[in-house]
Amino acid sequence: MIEFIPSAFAATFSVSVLLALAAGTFAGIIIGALPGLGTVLGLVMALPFTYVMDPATAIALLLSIYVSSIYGGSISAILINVPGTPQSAASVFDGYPMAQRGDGALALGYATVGSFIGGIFSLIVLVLIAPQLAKFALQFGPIETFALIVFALTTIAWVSSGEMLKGLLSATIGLFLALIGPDAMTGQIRFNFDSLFLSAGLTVIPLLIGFFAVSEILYQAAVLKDVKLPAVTSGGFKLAPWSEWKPRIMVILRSCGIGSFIGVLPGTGATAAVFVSYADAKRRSPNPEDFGKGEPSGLLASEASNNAVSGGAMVPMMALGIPGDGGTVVLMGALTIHNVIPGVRLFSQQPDLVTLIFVLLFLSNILMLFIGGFGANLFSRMLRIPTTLLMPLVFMMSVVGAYAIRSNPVDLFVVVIFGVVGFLLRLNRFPPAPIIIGFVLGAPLEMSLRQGLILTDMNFLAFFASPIALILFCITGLIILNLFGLGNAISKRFRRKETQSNN
Amino acid sequence: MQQKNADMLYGAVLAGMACAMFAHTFSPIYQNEFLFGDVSTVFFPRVLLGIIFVLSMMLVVKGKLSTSDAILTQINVKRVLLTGGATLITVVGVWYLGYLVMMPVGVFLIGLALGYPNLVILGITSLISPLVVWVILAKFAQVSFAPGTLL
Repeated sequence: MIEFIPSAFAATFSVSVLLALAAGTFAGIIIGALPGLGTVLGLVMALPFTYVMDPATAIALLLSIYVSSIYGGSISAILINVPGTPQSAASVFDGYPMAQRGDGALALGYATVGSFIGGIFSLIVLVLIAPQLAKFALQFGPIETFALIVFALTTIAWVSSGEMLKGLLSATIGLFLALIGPDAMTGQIRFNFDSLFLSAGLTVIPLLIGFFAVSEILYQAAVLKDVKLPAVTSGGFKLAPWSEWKPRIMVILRSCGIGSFIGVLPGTGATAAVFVSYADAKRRSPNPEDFGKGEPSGLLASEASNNAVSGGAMVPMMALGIPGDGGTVVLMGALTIHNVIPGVRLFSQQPDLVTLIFVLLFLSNILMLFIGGFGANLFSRMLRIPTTLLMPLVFMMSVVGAYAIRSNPVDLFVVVIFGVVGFLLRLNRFPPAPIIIGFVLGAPLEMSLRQGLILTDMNFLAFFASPIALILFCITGLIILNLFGLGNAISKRFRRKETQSNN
Repeated sequence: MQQKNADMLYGAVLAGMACAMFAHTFSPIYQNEFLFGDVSTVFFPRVLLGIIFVLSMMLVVKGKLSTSDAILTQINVKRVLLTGGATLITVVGVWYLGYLVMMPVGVFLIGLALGYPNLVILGITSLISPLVVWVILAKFAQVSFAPGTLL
């Protein structure tokens, strides 16, 4: 892969790619900073711009938005006490108190550098792990692929906002939606109900625009309390002296490790990572009582870990073709438009493209550091744009993105229908990401099951003969046991026995 | 609405839909010969629908057994209906009148439905932003925009 680095840098240093990187980083920071938008909506809004771009430019735009929007969330968390993205939720605890006491510029300095280090750390993890994982996954046949997808979907559902049953239902609904249209093995049209439109099957872009963008607009309409402009504390950008950084190096590195590790696990995402990192930093700190009152270590733990998730989350997406969260599922959908199919074969068949992705991620993080630093004042002014003005623009970009993909106006209705469905599901805390991830994985799951059954003469028990599949099935089984509450019941029984023996 | 009632309602609706779809898989259109020892084309859908049914019924039971009085997030129904209506009008309008005619109206209507207070800024944004996006994407990047079936 090293031999492709010079050509990857050469491809990067074209006007279009550099412009896309800079524009994506700039837009990503703004999108992340504005509460109500966030990484997924940012990527969805950028989709129509990528349709006519060459793959390198399109990937540059999307990756830079993906990376910088996570950082952007910290700006509003620090300056207006509202995290721009869920990933920055823990940055509020110490970032806002710092801004309140007049250290807003210093807090933004910590957040920017912490995010940069997190991003670079996760890139190293991605470069080291993803190729090895892809090489290992080359041994996978249909049975192992089936076990892996079932495991990934169960994990994603398991960690879905604490509502595992609803997460599992969402994932299964997504899997079912993928079956509408022609059967990949026989060509038989299924579940079209004599509709010409459904005969062709649903496509991922209108579906994810509906579930993520339109449902978000309706959800904001449902829950918006007031339209007052937020009070923004002073912004700017200031770096703390080295003496302030030195005692916090271990906090940053540990948070990077936690973020990258959690990022690799499908479905867990940055929100979980930041709280784990924050709690870890507080537990190990000599002065934990300062956390929540403007302690820079708390802000660094949160910001380093949420950006460290970005590379980690791309490991299963790039190496196995399994997107772990909303951001990577949009990235995967967008890459597919450009005939870049993430998965095992990406590393063996397009190593040049993989290297290009690594180089683009590296440059995105560098640009995020510079644009974030120099544009801090501008970004803090942008926070005055209210959600009620942003949401109509999100809808406008949704319409453009949904129509342009096939020039089919029916896709606009698909967007609205699934927007309403997504909104109704969100009202009852059904997470939207497992639906889209299920939709993306539906066809490969069915294909691998049927191929596996043909290989084993319809003997499903033979699926357990594969050691890899057996391990994955066992872990999946444990997760499902937890769903039925057996895990809790067993631990309660143990605790009761322990109490009895102590007495 | 109480969370437990919502769970029962959602579970019942999803279970009903799964049953209807499951019955549909027995339609004669799916009775084909299977080549190379393949399973039926509706084998996997039936498995999935079975899982959806079981999980939905678990949601119903969970709601039934729940002793919690937690309620769903309080929502502004009027604003949701207005915003939903505005999005639908915009989509229908884009179909018939095209993006350039309808999108400024759509952006304005959705902003209005969401309750943006300053109509002047909303009006200017509604006029400028769709035009800017159109110029960038249609003129420079050749992305296709809905032309409108009536125009």
